[in-house]
Amino acid sequence: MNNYIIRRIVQAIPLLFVISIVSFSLIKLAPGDPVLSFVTPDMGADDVARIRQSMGLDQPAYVQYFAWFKNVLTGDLGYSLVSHRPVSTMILERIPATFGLMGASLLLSLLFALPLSMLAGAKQNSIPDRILSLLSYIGISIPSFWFSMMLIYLFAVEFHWLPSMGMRTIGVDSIWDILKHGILPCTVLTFINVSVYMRYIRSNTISQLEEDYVQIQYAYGASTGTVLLRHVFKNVILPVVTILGMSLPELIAGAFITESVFSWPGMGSLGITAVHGLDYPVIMGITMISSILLVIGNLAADILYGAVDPRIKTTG
Amino acid sequence: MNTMRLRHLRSQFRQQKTGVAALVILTVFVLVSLFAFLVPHDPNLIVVMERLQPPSAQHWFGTDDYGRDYLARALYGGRVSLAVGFLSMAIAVCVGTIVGTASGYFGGWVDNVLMRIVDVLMSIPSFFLMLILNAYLKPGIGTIILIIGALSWMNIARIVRAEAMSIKQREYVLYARVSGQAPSRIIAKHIIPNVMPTIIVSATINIASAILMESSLSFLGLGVKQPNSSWGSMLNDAQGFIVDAPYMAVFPGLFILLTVLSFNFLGDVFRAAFEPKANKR
Amino acid sequence: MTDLLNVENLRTVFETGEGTVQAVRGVSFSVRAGEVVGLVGESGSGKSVTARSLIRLIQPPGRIAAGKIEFDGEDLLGKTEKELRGIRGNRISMIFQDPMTSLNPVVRVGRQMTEVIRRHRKLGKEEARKTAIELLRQVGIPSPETRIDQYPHEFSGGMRQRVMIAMALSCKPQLLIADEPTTALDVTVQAQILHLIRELKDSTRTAVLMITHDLGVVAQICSRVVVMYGGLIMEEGPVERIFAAPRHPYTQGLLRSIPRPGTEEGKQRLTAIEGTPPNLADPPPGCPFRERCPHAMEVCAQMPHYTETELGHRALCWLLDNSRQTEASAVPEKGARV
Repeated sequence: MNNYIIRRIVQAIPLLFVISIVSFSLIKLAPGDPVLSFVTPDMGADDVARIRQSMGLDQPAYVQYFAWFKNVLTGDLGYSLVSHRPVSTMILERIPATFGLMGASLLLSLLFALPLSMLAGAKQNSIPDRILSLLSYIGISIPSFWFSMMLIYLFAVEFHWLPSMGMRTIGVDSIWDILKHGILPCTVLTFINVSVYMRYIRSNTISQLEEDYVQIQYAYGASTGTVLLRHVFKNVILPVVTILGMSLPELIAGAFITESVFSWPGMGSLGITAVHGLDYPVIMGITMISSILLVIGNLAADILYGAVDPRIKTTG
Repeated sequence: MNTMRLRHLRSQFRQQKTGVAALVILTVFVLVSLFAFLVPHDPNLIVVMERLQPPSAQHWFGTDDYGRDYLARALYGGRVSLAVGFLSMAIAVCVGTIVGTASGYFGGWVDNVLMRIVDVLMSIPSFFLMLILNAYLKPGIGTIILIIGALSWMNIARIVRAEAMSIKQREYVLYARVSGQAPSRIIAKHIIPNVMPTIIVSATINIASAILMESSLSFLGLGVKQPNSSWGSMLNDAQGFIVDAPYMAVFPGLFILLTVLSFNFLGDVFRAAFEPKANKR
Repeated sequence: MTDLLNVENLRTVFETGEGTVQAVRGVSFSVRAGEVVGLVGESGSGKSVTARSLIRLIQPPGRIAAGKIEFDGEDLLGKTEKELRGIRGNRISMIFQDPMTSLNPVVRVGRQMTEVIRRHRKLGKEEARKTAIELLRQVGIPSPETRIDQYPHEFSGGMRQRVMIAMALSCKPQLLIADEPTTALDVTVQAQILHLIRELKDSTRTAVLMITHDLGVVAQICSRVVVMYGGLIMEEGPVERIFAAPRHPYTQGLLRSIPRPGTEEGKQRLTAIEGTPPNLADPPPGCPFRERCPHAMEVCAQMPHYTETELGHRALCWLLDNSRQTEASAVPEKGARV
């Protein structure tokens, strides 16, 4: 088991390394000369060259990369071209909002997806199954931003029940206020996540119900409820860990868009603003961080799977 | 495509009425956007007097903030959305099939290198990467197609690779290899035809996600830009008028939903027809 | 001795897209208390469906269309699902073919056992655990105290089948249905498992319905044999009579197809019956074995009668019918609907 964890971590290291190279190239490939933003009309060619030298831009690319990489390791991601604040600080400020939203929707998604998809799988082709299946088709097909707009129109514009923008009402400082702001974005993300998870969990439930051990449980007098809760559930929830890992990219993309529509002050909306303003250091920082999160998420999913599945625990 | 598969497909369509509905919807959308010029309104004709008019007999979908006929715009926008979805799928399928078959057939270091590339690409949130590239590169429909295509082939490559690996072990392929046929010939004659059903399924699902990507990018203002418009960019405009003209947000979004839904339905019908095992699950 | 299980005219069908598959087409037999009966047939003969029908484990699109199943004087087909649950695993138990997939892979063996025990017997957690350990010991699992906390994948195939037997016998059932319990096992393990079943039924007086395609298994353990083909019983009788003087051409064919070491004949001859079993979606009207039968006659296009050649030995064949020319009426008549 420990070997397994170590092996997976070692496998992830080169990946992180390549991600850093890609992120670095994002700055290098960016259109425009970064020196120019420091150049004023009264400067001569010498001054420009001096600035270039002081920024290390006259060095070969790999030297620049290692200098940059050293900074990244110490947590220095450079400064925003727009606000001139340290990128790492800007991202750190935004992380709680993003994690809060993603975490809440992830938790809610599982709470809905597990029972609903097991019900759908157990009652295959029944009316509830058909309704749920149609809903999940809609969930994987609906543009998240459009769903957000429709919710905003209904609940904020028409009925004035819920706020449609931001995370706090100015001047109000209460958890309830944050929750109220979070309801709509969270609903969007949850609906989409549940739809994705349902397809996997439902088909998994169906294939588990065809397993011999289920037939045997019935042959030994178990009721459908017992079979589902005591036997199928455990087998179904294990792969959910992997599904979570697999769906992370979509989750992150969904968060980018949804945060942006609802002006939710998280990493996603920061990223989109940065792309619009061509704020390269911020773009690079967010690419780095979200890629690292993705790698860590997948790693965690693998390790967790190894930890909960008895078949891996004792053999691998 | 042999006759048995076609028969499976027919019986699947008979069983799943949603598949037929999807096919009908898509056909209608394609025809309507092809014959968009039949609508008696110019999608780009600005009539300031008729700004933000709600749907009426004159303008079925109302008019936008420049007084342009919204139905005409939605139809022409559909052209762009469908074309982008289809063409970027074509790119993704080509790249994915080439990488997947090469990886699966040759194995060894080729497989190793290609799959590590796939790993890296899949570990960067591709949607954000698309955003960035769109911001860096010269904007235009061609750019979007290239970017979406270039960043969405990885899944196809993985699926095709797995399939190619198993087909490679079949006896007729082993025979062809032993008898000294060139790899390119074996791939073209034996591997690709057998992977085809899988590719068709992936391609259908891929169009669905490509259309979603395009609309998201355009919605964020980083995809299709004026003077062109797609359903996504129309929604970008509509965002500002959600209070005054909510219908502007309803129609393009509904079209995206219906198109993507239909492709997803269709993909599952194909899957059920071509992979009888997956059908049961 | 009275009958423990009495099956009359059982019909089980599966509604498929291509039509109704008649898997069991009117089967009648009985099992007495403490007796071991072999239910023999090729795959597709309907033997497994018959076994599952007995405890009504037939799931849609399948259903029991007609017949009567009497167990210990009670009508099983008239029982509610809840009443049945009290019988399954308790008074009638079952072992399945593949021990590798019969246990839930992610639940500890001990919990799977105690769950069954506590479902049917009013025992506390600790008592149930002790009972489970004792059962594991009885079926020959070494150091059951530690094994009970392990997962199924930590057991070998033979050991898992022992666990299954322990589970099946945990409530001291009156009837054990063993569906090909040794088929998936190595030959040496097969012998051990058969030996175990024989021992256990001797000590517990449990009746066993042994479903198998292997006549070798039948010879080792059964006292009576029911031979099924095409959803019908072809022949039934005491094991020694069936082996010594099989009456039905199908049984004769089956017996010829097992190799018999020791006899001069057995060294060379291993004749499988030619042809394939009939399609039960649209079964031919007469004897189902007609197509493959070396003695097929014109009259075989009609359904034969059962002819009792000796006491307790009957077969479904026109060859045994002395009044061959008399009107043929199908024997398995449509029974009452359930």
